[in-house]
Amino acid sequence: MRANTILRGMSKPLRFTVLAALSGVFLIASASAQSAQDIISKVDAAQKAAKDISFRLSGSASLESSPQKIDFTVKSIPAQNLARLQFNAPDALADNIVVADKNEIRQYLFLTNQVTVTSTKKAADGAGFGGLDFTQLSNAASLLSQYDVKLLSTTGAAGKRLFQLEATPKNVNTTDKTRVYITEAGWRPTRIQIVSSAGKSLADLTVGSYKVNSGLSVAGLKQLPKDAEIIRQ
Amino acid sequence: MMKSWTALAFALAATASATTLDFGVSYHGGGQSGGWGRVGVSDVPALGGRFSAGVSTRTAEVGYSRNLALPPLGVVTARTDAAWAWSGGGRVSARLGGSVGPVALNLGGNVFSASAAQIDPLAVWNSDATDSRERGLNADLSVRYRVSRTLIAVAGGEFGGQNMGTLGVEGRRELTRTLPLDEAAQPGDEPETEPVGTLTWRAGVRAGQNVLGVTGGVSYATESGLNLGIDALVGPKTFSVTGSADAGELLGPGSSVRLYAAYEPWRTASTPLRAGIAATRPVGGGEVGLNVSGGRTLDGKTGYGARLTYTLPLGESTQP
Repeated sequence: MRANTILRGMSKPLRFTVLAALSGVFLIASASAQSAQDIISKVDAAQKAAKDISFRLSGSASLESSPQKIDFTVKSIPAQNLARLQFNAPDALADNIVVADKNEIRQYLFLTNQVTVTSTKKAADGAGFGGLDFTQLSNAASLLSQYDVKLLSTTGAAGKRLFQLEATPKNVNTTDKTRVYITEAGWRPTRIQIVSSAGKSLADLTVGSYKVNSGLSVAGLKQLPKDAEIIRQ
Repeated sequence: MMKSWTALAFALAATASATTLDFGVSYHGGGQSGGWGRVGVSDVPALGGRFSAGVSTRTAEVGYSRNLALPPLGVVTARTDAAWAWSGGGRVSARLGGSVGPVALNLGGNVFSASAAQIDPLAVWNSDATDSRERGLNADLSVRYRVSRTLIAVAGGEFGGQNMGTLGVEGRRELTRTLPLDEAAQPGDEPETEPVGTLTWRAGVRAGQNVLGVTGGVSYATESGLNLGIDALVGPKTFSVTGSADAGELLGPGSSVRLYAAYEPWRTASTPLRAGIAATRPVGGGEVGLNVSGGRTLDGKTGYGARLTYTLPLGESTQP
């Protein structure tokens, strides 16, 4: 549903990247295609078994025809529904941080040294977020119930196979497709692409520095600069 | 009056989980001395924003703020406050701030027929210069633009009391240490780094009525909350320096301690010499704050003051 909303209009690029990040980690649950289902359950199981997950998404996205560099790290403790996004690029957003958990979403703005606090429920009501529902972060099933997923291709030798999945939003008149590459080694995503119906790449992000159980702490994920001004919504 | 106010506060609190009760007592000496007390509520959710209200032995105050966060792009904040002094006169202020991507804007304005000291005698010794005139209006403006990841261009102005403009650049540098690569690292992975602190520098000019000079400053902040900063202005006829130190959680988790001093002899509408210490510490379900400050006015009068406050969030807390 969102890919369409997301790729048009001003502030959309970031929603889109966030969504891409979510797709990377949490996606993968409600495939309708039988062949894709096994892969998805393996990834799902691998992620559920992980105490913490961290990775870096980098690449580019075409926003209103000009490609832009996008680079951010994601750290997550799935059992706590806790995730932290930290931007490295584009420059305008670099060093901004978003921390989301069950109760609230905190956003650190580097430019003004402020932290905004929004209740997750309020965010879900859509005010100001124009569609991206941060609660989806911890609700993969609902996010994925909106997609049809099929297996496009399998390459590589057994044990190191690379699967290419394609997700198409259901019930929405968009033809944009999200492609996720999954490696059998570790059952994790390695690349996320968003492709228009004309075959044009709208976004191409590589998943790097993927780590599980590296000992991330809740306090570490929630840490934001202490001298920032706190703004509650 | 206070009694009925407290009753109202509790009534409001019953319906609003985010509401905070504020209590405070203060004393100031030097020149006219005296003590006063205040009780108020803040963060009362209503009309899509938050209300605050308070009554003290000097004033009645009301405020309303509304914020809209747009993660990860920015935020828009708006607030307006009004205060009426029992001794006559009042103040109305409004502030609007917004940041989206690389641009941030902040606008503020005040109209007053009561001096800042009439509302709060300690206000004139705040770290930020406060317009100390008896009546008038003033406005301030600041714009920040992120030129690149490490460089921010800043422009601003103060109008009304003493007109002036500022122009400058600001840079921030993360001080990091590289962590050893772990066994699971993939070839091509960049080594992970861990932040140890931030160094910020500022350079610019300030020009206006009774002031002309180049400005420069530097701050150092650590992950533990220690933050040291110093700024200076040097001009053909004037010199000024301001400094501050935030000690972080020196008094235990959730606490804060801040020391500041400012010597700005070119200020004609504010107290040129100001210094103070402010500390907060969680106690019970709330937070105790102590503020001791003082200074010397343009005409050489020395004053000082102290304030003890207690803020108590009611219902479920969203504190970090």
